[in-house]
Amino acid sequence: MTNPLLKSYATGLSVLYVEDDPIGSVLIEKMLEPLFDRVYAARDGAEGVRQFHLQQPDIIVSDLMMPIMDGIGMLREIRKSNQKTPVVLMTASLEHVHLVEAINLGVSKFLAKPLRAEALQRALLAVTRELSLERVAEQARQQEVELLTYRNRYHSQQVELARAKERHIAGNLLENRYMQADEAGGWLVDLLQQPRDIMSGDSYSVIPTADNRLLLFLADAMGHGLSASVTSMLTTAFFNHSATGCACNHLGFAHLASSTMRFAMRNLLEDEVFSSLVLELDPLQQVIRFACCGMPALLLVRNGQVERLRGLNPPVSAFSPPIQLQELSLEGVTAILLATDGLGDAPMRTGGCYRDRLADDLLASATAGELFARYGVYCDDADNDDDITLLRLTAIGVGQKQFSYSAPGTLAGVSSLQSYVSRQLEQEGAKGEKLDALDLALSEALMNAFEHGCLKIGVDKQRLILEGGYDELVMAAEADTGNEIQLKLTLGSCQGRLQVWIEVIDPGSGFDAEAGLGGNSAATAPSGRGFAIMKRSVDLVRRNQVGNRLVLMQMFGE
Amino acid sequence: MEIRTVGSQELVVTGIIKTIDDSMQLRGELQKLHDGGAKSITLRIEDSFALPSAVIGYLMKLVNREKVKLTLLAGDKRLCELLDELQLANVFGVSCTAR
Repeated sequence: MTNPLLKSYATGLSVLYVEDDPIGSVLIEKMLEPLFDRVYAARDGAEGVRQFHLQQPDIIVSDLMMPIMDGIGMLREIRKSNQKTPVVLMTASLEHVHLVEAINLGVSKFLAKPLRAEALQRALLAVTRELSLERVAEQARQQEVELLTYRNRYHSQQVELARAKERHIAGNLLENRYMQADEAGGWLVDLLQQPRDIMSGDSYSVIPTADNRLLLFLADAMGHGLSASVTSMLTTAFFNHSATGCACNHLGFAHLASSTMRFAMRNLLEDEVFSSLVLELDPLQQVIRFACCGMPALLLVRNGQVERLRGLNPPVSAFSPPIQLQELSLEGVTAILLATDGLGDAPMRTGGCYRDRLADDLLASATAGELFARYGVYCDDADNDDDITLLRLTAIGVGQKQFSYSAPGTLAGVSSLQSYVSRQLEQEGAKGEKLDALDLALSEALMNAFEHGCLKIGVDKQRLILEGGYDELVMAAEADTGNEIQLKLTLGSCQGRLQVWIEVIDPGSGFDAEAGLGGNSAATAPSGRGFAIMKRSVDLVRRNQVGNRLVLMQMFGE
Repeated sequence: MEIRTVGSQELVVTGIIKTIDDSMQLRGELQKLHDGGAKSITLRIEDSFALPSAVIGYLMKLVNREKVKLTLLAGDKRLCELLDELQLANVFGVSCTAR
């Protein structure tokens, strides 16, 4: 009678029995077939080896003494490639030398011959139970690995989604543009962020308004991790929403600033604090208004000197009083630095904090990248575990010498203009690879102005190049009054270094390069390549809002 | 910038390709090779760290419309990086020969 427990363990398993005696073979087969799904047979050890490699049985039941190859010999062969398959060895007598070798070869059970059904069942019960336990353990291991893999994948997906959300909310809408003030100058935002984690506690938003003001939000939620970043993200999203339609007057900005801070207050836990800054820059009225709550002092460069503007409000908490606003004239101001405390609080290798050097380095640098490089000279950023966000608001085209040029809207015209400007720059002391790079950027800017402003090619450029017509269009352009390209060259000094601003103005109504991308990335779309080349070549490049003016800035000297 | 023609299928450019005139001159030399029947062109740019977009546009026309097989040998790593960033490394058959 079949043991039901053995039957349940053996279900799904296969067995190979190896027996040279025909009667014995039939008896064993009769005992095995009711138990196992698949039963394989062999008449001797050599056939047993062949059947083992062919059928890969779960269990082997074998006689010891057989012609051609005995059970030990067969097992020896099998163990060369398989250490695990359990073996039940049947024998009438087992000499000591066979016993030792059999044990060393991993025989699981020995059965005496003549074989009795109960003995075989007991042996098979032990072996199949062992196999069953191993399978359960293996399944559990597999499930654990799958769960870990799933969790890792889920976590990675969440990290990516969080990063994408962060980029979606925190943004600089003036990244490739500048705010044109009037016919002369404007402001650009040069931003650099060094977050230490995803969902950084620092956040920012830069929004140009339809009436040509700049609205800016900077936040640093104190603490690390999700709670800090949720506060920053929520408040940034609120600012973004409120800034749309912010009325152009003092009351409009006051409402924006106070409502943003009140929103933050309402979403803070009792023991949380939140540093933030809301700022409005009005280039036409030449004024900035701001509400600074617990952020480091703003630094302004005015007439070559640095002014420190401390905020009037403590960090926002669940119990903050109403905020106070500040207003300041921009007359003579060429740069404004806003930064979270990760920058100023960074310890210097020589002692003290980087805040002690910040004013000097702001004067000596022309871009956010240069300032950060100077920070790296004095501080070890690898030791700084606080996020750094810095925004450098830079006045465009400030300098002591200014030159204005114009050129007809022809290929010869723009080519001559480029040569003339390049010679002028050489005379003013610009040289070396930085001049080569500026020349390259200038040729891109002038060709851009020629193609879009004079020839009005627009998004058809790629098609004209590939299908033909571009060269003919370019060569056939004739000088036309009112179709001229203007260029303003401004030369200034930044702590003894030559600073060059070039503004290229085309006569067109503007070309929205982003709209012309046609689904391609900026670097790969035809209208984006020139801009990508300019960005690699000069320290700063920006377009105006409309797209018919382009500004380049290059620093010369160390 | 100097351009030297080697045989009927190769141009060697030394110096920096930076001005509008440089772009037009290089386009002209490439056109000469193509007009001469070249089905494959080797463009060896030894020193320039970038390529103006006017040259890039012309090369794209050569490759995509005229079906010229282009091999661009870039002697400055920055040129290789630029073309890689613009996803043109495969299109232009770029090899970086910079040391």
